[in-house]
Amino acid sequence: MIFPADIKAQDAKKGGPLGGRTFVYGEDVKLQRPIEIGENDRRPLSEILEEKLAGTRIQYRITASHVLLFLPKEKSERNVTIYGYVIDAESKETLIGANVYLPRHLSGDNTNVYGHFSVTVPEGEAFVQTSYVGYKTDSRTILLNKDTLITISLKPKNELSEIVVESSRPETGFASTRSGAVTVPVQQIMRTPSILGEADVVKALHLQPGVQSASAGQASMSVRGGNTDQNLFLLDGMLLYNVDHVLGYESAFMPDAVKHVEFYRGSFPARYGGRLSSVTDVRMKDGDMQNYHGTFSVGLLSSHMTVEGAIWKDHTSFIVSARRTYLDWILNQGDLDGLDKLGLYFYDLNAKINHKFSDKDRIYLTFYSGRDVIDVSSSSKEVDSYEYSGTEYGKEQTAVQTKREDKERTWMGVRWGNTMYHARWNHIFSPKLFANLTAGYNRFFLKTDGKVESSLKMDGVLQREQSFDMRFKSGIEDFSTTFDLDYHPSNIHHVRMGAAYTLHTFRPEVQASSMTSFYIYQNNLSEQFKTENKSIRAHEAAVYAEDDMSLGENWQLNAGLRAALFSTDGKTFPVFEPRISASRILPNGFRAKGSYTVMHQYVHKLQSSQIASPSDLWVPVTKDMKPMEAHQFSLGLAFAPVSDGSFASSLKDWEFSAEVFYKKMNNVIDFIDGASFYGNSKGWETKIATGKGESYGFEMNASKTVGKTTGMLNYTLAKTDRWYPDGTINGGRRFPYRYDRRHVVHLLVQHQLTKRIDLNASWNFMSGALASVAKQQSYYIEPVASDLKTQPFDRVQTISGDYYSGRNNYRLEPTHQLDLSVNFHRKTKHGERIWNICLINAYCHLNQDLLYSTLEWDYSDPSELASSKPSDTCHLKRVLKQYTIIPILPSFTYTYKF
Amino acid sequence: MKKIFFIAAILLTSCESEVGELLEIEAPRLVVNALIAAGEDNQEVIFHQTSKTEATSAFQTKFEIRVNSNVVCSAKSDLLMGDRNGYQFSAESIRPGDRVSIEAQNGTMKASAETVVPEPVTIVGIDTMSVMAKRYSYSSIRNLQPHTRYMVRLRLPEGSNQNETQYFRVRVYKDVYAWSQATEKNGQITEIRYNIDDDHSHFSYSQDPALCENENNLLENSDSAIEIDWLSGNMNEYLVFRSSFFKDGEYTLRLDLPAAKSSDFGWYQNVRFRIYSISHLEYNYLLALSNLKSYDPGVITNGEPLIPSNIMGGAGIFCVESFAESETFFEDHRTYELVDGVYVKK
Repeated sequence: MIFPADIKAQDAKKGGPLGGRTFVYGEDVKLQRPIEIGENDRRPLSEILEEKLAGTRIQYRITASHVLLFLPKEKSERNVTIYGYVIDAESKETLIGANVYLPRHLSGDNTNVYGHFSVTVPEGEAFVQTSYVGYKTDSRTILLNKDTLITISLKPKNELSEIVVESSRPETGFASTRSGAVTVPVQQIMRTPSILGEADVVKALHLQPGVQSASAGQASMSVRGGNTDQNLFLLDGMLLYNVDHVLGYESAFMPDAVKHVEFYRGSFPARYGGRLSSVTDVRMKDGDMQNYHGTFSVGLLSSHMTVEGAIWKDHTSFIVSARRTYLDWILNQGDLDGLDKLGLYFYDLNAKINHKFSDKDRIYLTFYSGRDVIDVSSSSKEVDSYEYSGTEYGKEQTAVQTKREDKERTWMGVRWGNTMYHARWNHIFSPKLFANLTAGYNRFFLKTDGKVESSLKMDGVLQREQSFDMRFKSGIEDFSTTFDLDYHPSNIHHVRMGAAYTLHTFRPEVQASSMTSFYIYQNNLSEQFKTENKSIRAHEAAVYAEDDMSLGENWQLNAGLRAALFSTDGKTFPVFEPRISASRILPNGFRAKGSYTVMHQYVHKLQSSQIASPSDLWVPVTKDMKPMEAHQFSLGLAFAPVSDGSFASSLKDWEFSAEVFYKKMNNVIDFIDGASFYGNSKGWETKIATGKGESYGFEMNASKTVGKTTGMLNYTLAKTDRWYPDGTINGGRRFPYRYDRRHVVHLLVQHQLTKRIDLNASWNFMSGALASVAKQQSYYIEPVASDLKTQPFDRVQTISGDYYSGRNNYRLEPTHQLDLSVNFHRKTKHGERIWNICLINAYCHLNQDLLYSTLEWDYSDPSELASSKPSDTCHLKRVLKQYTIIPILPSFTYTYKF
Repeated sequence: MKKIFFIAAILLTSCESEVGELLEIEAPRLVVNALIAAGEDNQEVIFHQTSKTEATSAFQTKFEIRVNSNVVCSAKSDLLMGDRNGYQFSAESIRPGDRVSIEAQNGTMKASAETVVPEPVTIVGIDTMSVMAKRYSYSSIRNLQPHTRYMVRLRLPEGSNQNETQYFRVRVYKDVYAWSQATEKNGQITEIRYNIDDDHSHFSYSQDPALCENENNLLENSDSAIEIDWLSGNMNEYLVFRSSFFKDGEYTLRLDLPAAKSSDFGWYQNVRFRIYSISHLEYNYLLALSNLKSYDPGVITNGEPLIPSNIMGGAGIFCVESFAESETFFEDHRTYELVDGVYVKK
């Protein structure tokens, strides 16, 4: 085997010493003769290279994909910086997380969320390789004699293939310093089977290790034993409070408009804060700078459309995405069980404009609005006639025919949603300094209106007319601004720093109602009712700095600090959050990782039942309630097999990781025993308790990202519990948290059967969650009013009721579910059409999503069933009843891309 | 409102099914229930035992009540009025600040609890004024009617920590006599009949921020029965309130009682207010009990009504309350008085 002195990569037998690696070197490396490796040479590659390069100044370095040959650096060399953007060659869309690597200099960078990179190297000729999943790798040689601003365009290709260039420090994934941080490919999200064929960003995250859906079908999730309100969702850097659509079946993120999704469940970067358990950073597409194109999709229950294009070619682009469900229309075609109308739909609208002033300045304007609407109306009308005859005032009355008309109409409408506007300015101050300034407005609201009208007419004469109007409002408004700097002082440091400020206005709840009555013998009367929690203003500010650094060849460290404060109710809570992640490159493709992070959370969602609903209120910390706090430690081992001829090299397209974590939470909140809002949050501060929580576990992941068959297998073994020392919950005893599922398995397989057909399957298994179930009856004592004359002291009486022996005292059955989908693609004259057929819960397993117990009579003789009164032979029995949210759900969707 | 979401969920996809009978058998627990008024006679402690389907009386339960470690009552439970199994004892010797405990045993079941008697609030005075207010009943409004607004001025106990929330409940006892008709004999009135309005439950606390937990609220007590589910959450069934609404240790409780019906023959009205100082546990317990009574297990979007308890090893609640009491007595239009068996004009 002979390798000529040629820069072009050479194929080699994978089983040989080179293991499929190619040689990379510059013109300064002058090989006197080709490097020859004997067919049967089984010596380690390093030994061979030592021999072949003996007597020259040439040094070498072996990486996963390359053998790098280079000359030692001259100390007098001047450094220059190559910086700029990586974009899609066709749409000119910036690419996030693309690898820019200069192998000869062993330097590189990953583009940030704005597509920007910066690498400093000695002046001279530089060989730059840029790669990104789903794109052809760009290789180019650039003569660098000064700081150079470039835009690298990558051409898309249709299949997922190996990324051949190593990056120095990506933000997520195997090569990242961090553990528990992943980038979820949009292509994977689009193909993951999902309810009603609607690809969903958040539900794709449910397949990650350490993550479980809060309830079947719901978008809300629990991460590493956290509550569903402990997850930070960012859309283009702006916080969204409620990402669930109607009952959580869909999340607010529309995959068509999504460019990039990063998910952190541990080792959180210092730039994120405000939630304890996870960060999901979703970045929208910017819009095609060249051509108009789009997608529209028609499904059983919803349709969506995306259009993007250039307003001013190469300078200004837009993207607009819209989605609406029409479940309301379908439901109203059938029997509504006594209802006149049931409106149940949601819509989303995303719009973004970006303008490129110059290579150094860009501005983005983003708008998002999502609404959920439920309208219910019913009416009844009873008309009857009857004869009246009898004696009045001692005289016999003749029969009188009387017509009675009784009418009632009820209407109720519930609306909730997010609205977000924000503007962003990106500026490159210098080759090493990139800046982002964002200002935005964000609003979440819930509004309910209802009306009950009734009237009674006798022989056409109005006797009584009443109406009752009610209104309910709650919401949050945020004005926020952030300033971020990306600074690359040298190749071993990548510093991010910034500041953020948010003005929150919480309106936890306002209820108002009015009642009017007309009686034939009375005057018109009306009355107003109003109850409200005061609106609460809060200031949240933070500064952060983090440095992602290389310590030698094998060590990487990311050290950061976030200092934040939250001021409300006359009190300020300052917090400091150290964030440290470290990784060590080990031989044979292994990498060890460890991290310690501290997170705080200042707002909470008050959820009073097993199901999350938009009526659950977001409330801030108060002067008597400290911010929630989490300390999280994790240790992990990642493994990406290298081609060294061993057995492991046959798994070259796979990545494996295993991680243990421990999370200690302070000041977590929950409802005290017996507290319930029933949609009313009056005096909410008195109904909650603050306590402690603990989660720990082991997570394992195996992923295959390349080839016709891709997918992942994730397993989590975990435990999580809570305790409230003040005794207001579970008598102060420690209890398992509702998401304390011991074993969780997620399997995702995506197979490209032919160019036109792809098959997708996901299977989930989870140990049962926990619920509070009454297993016994007890008696309770209550004070009752006494009669002053006969009993001068207060009385008590007892009432029978369900007895709950403890919080979360019942473990539900394990749940498992298989979801399948198939996509049929076909190229058409103007684009591509896709048929998606999807089957959720394919084998219709009736999962126990919600459970309660009730008492029923046990009839020994079935004939007694007809009797309303149980006989002596009957006895009461305690029966368990369950709700399965999704028994089985088929769907199909038609999508056309143009 | 959760009902709406729940209905929507059901309409979408979900299905309900019976899992079967609960097979798990939890050990029965001894239930100890007592809400004792310190300083009062005839106080009850009631014993039951839990069971899977029907709680039963725990007969012959041996128990011991201690006050500041001294045994004040040691007995076995017995039948009380109304088929209750328990024991009636005098709490006259129990004082605010006392540490009161109970230990009970029935067979293998044991239960114990300890509580501290809170300091009573002081009723500084009661002012009244006549107001016209509407009455609400079964989702309708009635005409304006004369009411008497009682403004009960309260003061926190001397030396109490005003930063620490204290909890209370109020009871109103009302007796109203309104003379309505007279029997005449030989031109003389020999008998005056009267109507008794002793409806203790009907009064309005809509003007009271502490009882409504809010300003600008206008709701009546249980008689109003406005069956709108999220408004029903506003009902304060046991009339509990907390000191967070006090300013500088003082608060004026406002309650509107319907005025006695006017009569040519006169009327009188006796109204007594008792302000109980209760523990935080009892406050939470009474709120939870209110939720339990309106809990519908079929609508599981409602939170489960777990009832707080301080009974170690058992179930129930053992609390001792202290109270302050004040009474008002009104007489009006008494145009007749009884002299030698005959009513004569004053």
